[in-house]
Amino acid sequence: MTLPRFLQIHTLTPYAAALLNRDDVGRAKRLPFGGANRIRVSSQCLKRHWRTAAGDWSLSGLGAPMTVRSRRTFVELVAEPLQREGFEREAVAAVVEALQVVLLGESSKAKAAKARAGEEVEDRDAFAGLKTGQVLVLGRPEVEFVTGAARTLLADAATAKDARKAAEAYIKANRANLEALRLASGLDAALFGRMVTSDILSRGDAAVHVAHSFTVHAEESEPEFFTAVDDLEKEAGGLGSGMVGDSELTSGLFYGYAVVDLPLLVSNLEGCARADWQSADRGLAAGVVERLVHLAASVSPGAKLGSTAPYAYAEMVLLEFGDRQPRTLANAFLNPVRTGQLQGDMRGAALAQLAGYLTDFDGMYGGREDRKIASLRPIEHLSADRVAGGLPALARWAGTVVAA
Amino acid sequence: MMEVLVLRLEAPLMSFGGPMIDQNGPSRRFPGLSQLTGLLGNALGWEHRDADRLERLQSRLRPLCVEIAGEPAPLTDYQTVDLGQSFMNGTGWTTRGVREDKGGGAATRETHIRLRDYRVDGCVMVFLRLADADQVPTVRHLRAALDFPARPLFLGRKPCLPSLPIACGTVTAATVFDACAQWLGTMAAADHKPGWRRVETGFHDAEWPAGEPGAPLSLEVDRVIDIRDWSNQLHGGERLIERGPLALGAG
Repeated sequence: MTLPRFLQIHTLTPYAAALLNRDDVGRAKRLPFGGANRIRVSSQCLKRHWRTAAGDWSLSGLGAPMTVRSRRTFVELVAEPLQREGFEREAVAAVVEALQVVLLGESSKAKAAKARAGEEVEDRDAFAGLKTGQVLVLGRPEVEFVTGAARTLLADAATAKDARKAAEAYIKANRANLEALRLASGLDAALFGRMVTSDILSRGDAAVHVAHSFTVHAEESEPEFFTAVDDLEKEAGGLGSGMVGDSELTSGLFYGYAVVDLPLLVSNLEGCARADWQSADRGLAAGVVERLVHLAASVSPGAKLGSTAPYAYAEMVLLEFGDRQPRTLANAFLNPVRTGQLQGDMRGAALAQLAGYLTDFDGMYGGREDRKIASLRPIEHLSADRVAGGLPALARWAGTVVAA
Repeated sequence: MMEVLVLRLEAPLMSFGGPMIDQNGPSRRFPGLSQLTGLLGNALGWEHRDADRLERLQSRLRPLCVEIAGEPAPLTDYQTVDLGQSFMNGTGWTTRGVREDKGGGAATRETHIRLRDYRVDGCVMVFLRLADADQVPTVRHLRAALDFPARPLFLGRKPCLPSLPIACGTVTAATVFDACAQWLGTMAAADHKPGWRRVETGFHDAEWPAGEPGAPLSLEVDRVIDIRDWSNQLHGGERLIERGPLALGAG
């Protein structure tokens, strides 16, 4: 069975009396859509909060010791291919290990193996020192570069000892560039991309696309007048008003949309070519996807934490796996949801619009993605299967689809 | 008669990038040639390094772009970037072995402000024919790639994910203008569904390559710099386009 290429994540999240994302004059960011202004949270704001979120489902949590398992990138994608090209196994091990040390720091296995090097161990696996317990994230550009560098060093070396010497000289001469490669790689870069240089071959692309989120209805905004009171002045007999200002408070049901490019995610995490993503180890990618679903549903992009406590969880998370061109369901809300609909039940009206639009969309374009949904309440006529077990079950399902 | 690929570019935010000045990233009203090339290359699964293929495709594109709806003024998104973040400094590795840095001092510490324009609340249709029509990729290859793309498609910037399938179909017509009249006439006459933009009859602003056969009278001729040198990863090279209103009747 072939794996689906794309995961689409749709959320509906309510925020009341908050100011989530501001423009240059301190007002909430907006978006004209369907002829009505909506309140908006920008893509970069959402991404930043997902990236830096702490907690049970944080991305940084994937690097924690309990989730580590042996990563064989250097063995399977660098050392073994070089050996297949005809280079001598010991020489390959020496060069690749030297490069690995720079890119990772010393692995304890390598240290121990070196310590034993003086003893005669006939069947010692030359590549044993290359397996590392660290969560190593090198994308395809990095793997190709390291392999190419190793290949050049091996081609010029007569013995394994010469190869190691050449590798050490190369590392000394290129330390800054290799350090930069180490710093540029990482889970963050695999998901959200990294700095572009003038070199197209070193470019790493983001595997996650995050749309700007906006309210399904016209803006609901209230000016927030506030004063700052000077207590000391009051005590001294003065009037006490230190400052008068105004801000803005907005409320809304926000539609959020993100797409995960699964072949690119696996390539960025495992260093394999995109075309080989289905045969690569997808365990880490599955963990990332599961966490991303949780983050999209629960992480607030909000600012003004002290004065508005803008914390909310999604009331609906819809996941779609498929191969068709991903598309946002924003047009379900092209006609803004109005307070007059459904006796003032804006949430119900929004869900009804979404369900109706999705049905119309399927009718027009035929076929259907593999869809599952977690929601506070069942949604009538929505063309998706509702999971028992809510968000944890939904996120876990997404992980198993990727790992399958 | 030629085969014309019909594309629908519609997203809550879209960007048709124009020349950038300092921190300002303006959007033109219609997509440029390099943007369409990149979009098609993305669907086909081409890489950044496939410069020859991208150059060849770019040189074959003949798009007629028509505005269906749109706010006249673009939305400017105000973005701040903390230049001190760890992944921004000392991470510019290259395959040439030389690290590229942003520089020192303020470039690694302060907050950088970027302004990026988007076209909003709109829809642009593109009627695309290919010069050397039989060369691979043909219009049919492009259609198939857009329906099941290798990567997610986006309209200008990565967050600009489309609302609808971009490839609408193919039309056989004598010119791209005939294809446009045929297609939009059908759309205008169709029953209107809630959540779908109406195509109004009347005049629609459009842009097409100068000298395109079958063109109506244009209001202006302009030079645009929307061609990318894919080998050197630079924009450069201009072409002439014509702009004018297209009259659309129903049926």
